[in-house]
Amino acid sequence: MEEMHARLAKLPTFSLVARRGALYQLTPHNQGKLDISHVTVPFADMLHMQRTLLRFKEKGFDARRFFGFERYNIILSPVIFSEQLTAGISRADAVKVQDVGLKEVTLSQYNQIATQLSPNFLVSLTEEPDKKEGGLKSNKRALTKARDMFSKTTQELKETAPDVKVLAPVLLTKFQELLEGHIQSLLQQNVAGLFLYGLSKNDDAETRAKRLQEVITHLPKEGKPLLFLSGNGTPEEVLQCTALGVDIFETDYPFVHAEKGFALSFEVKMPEETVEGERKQEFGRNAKTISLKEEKYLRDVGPLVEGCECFACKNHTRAYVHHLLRCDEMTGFVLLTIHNVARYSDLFAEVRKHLSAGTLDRFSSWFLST
Amino acid sequence: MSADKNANAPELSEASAEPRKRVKEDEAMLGKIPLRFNILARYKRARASVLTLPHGDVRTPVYMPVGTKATLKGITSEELANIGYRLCLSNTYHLASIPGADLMAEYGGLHKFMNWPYNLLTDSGGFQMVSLSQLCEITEEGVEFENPYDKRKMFMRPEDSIHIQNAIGADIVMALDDVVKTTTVGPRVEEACDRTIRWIDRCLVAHRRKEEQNVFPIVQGAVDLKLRERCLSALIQREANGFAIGGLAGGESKDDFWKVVAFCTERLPEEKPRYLMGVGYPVDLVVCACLGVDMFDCVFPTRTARFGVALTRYGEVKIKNSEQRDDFRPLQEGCQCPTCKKFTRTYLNSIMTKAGVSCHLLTLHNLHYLFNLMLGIHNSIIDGTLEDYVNRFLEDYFSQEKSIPKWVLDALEKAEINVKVYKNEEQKNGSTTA
Repeated sequence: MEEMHARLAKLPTFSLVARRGALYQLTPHNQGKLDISHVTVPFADMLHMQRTLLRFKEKGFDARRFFGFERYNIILSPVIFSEQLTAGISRADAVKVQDVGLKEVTLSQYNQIATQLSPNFLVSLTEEPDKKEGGLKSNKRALTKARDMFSKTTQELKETAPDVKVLAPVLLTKFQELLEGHIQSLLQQNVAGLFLYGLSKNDDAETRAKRLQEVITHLPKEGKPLLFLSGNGTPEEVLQCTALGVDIFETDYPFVHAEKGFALSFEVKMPEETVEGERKQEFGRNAKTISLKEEKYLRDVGPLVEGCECFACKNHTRAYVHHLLRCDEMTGFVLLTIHNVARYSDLFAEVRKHLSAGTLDRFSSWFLST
Repeated sequence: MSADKNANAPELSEASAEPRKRVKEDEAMLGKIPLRFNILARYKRARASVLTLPHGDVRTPVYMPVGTKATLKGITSEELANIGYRLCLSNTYHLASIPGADLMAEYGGLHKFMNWPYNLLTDSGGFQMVSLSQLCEITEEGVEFENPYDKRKMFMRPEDSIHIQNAIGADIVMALDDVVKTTTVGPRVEEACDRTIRWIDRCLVAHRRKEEQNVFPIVQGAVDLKLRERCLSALIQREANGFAIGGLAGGESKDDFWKVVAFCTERLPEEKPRYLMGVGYPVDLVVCACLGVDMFDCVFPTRTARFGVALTRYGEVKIKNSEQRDDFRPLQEGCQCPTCKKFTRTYLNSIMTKAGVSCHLLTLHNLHYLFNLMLGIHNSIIDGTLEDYVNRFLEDYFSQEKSIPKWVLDALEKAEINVKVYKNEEQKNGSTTA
């Protein structure tokens, strides 16, 4: 546990979701400009190339080398926030996974592929109950299967892939009475990390806090396992959940905004002197963004965001990015992605700074009020 | 814009048909013209040179990638420069609409707008007007065409094309020519040839930035060598720092193609760069460089990349094919491009059509391949090994087919390059009826 904490000294941090094998528009060269430490590879994206995957070890490959992600910690996960990639089935040793339609994947199959990919972190196989329709029965089954599969996976990988840290999935179920037993069982197995998932896009800040609290309540203060959260990754969520104890935020937030032509424009450097006003409980507000498609940027030859040190802002202008978007040129999205990831990691740097200085509360209030 | 800069320079009167005198050697040396062409070495008809333009040196023969709308698709200016490119193209036709000449002037020109510190070439818009517009009517005055973006009717005279290109600010700008499809026959071809000559004078008169930008005339005449002769001899009477061969790479036969290229390179001024427009297949680049062409442009290498086709030493690799699904080799063994250094064919196959970055990765490879192909030609001319280089290229590129197209053999024979590989018995005996 200590060794892992030492390796992950820069916490909290974010894990970018690499959908379909890539970090959105980022070539390795452009990735190199950014401060990315973790990448999540959705298991569903791997299914179509199973046959190739099974030859990895023979060919001297693992996920890091194959995707060009050598610099990152890789999390292989069956579930992500932005899309429902699994579905439940009654069979105890299998889950349905999205692969041009739902395919049954057994635990054995999942772990075999995981061994070939050899990620830094493996979220053991789990299913996600339907967010709208899922009732008590499906939630209960999901948690039971998750426990069982976690336990089997930990045993198996001790032999086949001892370097892989297995994370236990914790469904943030609305049936909160199910969680205490689930977490106790995991803690007894000396779990290294908990992967919290199951939030819905409609969940507001209050609901999110409630769900997380129900998990955190049952965790020891000392020697708490690492907490991974699969969520929307908004600054509000990051601030709120960092305070609650989350360490790593799985997200595609910078990509989603770049795809829409938005540059993240929130301020991250809190000025020295701030008035300690009342704490604003506006966790639901959206982060500040600018839409480069707007005509008002036609003549604006300033950087995307004033004072930003990222490659896009230092080398290109709003007018140019506006032009690229107007012409539907991919380069526009490339530049926005570079900027958004840089801005997002700047935010995390500030969060880390304030967390260790004990000023996170003040920073959160300031951030949410600007 | 620097319209006032040339206020003291003698101007051609609009009605005058008198050709300007050729630029004197010493004037060029004084740096008064924005182009120097220093031929370092020759190998038969091929030349290895350094082309010095206002934004730096370029080694020729050179392939110029096409960044249509102020960017290469998916590639940043920095990534392009990192490969080694020092000269690329953009399109007047598109930029004239978005963002338009006035805004471009306000931005300080295209170099600044796209943050490309090296050289740029813009074409006149002529080709796109003819090929892309729904409506296109050419008269002596100019070209009436439909704006592709808002369907407005627009009119572009030679003067307009040059003025827009002045605002864009490229180091080399192309004269507006009367373009016809290469397959056109009859009086229209002759009309286009003669009009191109009349328009070059209008272009040269209209040109406002003579000390910063070079106007290249374009030789037309389809595949009719008499018309090519007529057009060419008239154009070289005009004061220009380089010349282009246009109107090819359309539907003409490869035989006609290379013969027109050879014909033109034989007659264009020796000491000035020769630009063959719209050519970019690897074989065509190699052959035409041997025939004496110095500059090329084409969308093919970057476009085909986006469709999943990688250009390699051993021919095309179609990354979407199922045989690439399980292949752990890079696109080309030994290739030092960012894509080949990191990725396998199987990875590229797995992301093609799924992740946009697959286009960028293949584009980077193709650009890298072509850059090195041209640099190889340049270097082998200098050290006298062009013939070996060409033979090795042909041997690798046609290693699947194990035979070389006849037109290639004919063209290389004309270029006095001895082809030693994949010759069948007939060819070995000197007959070229393969």
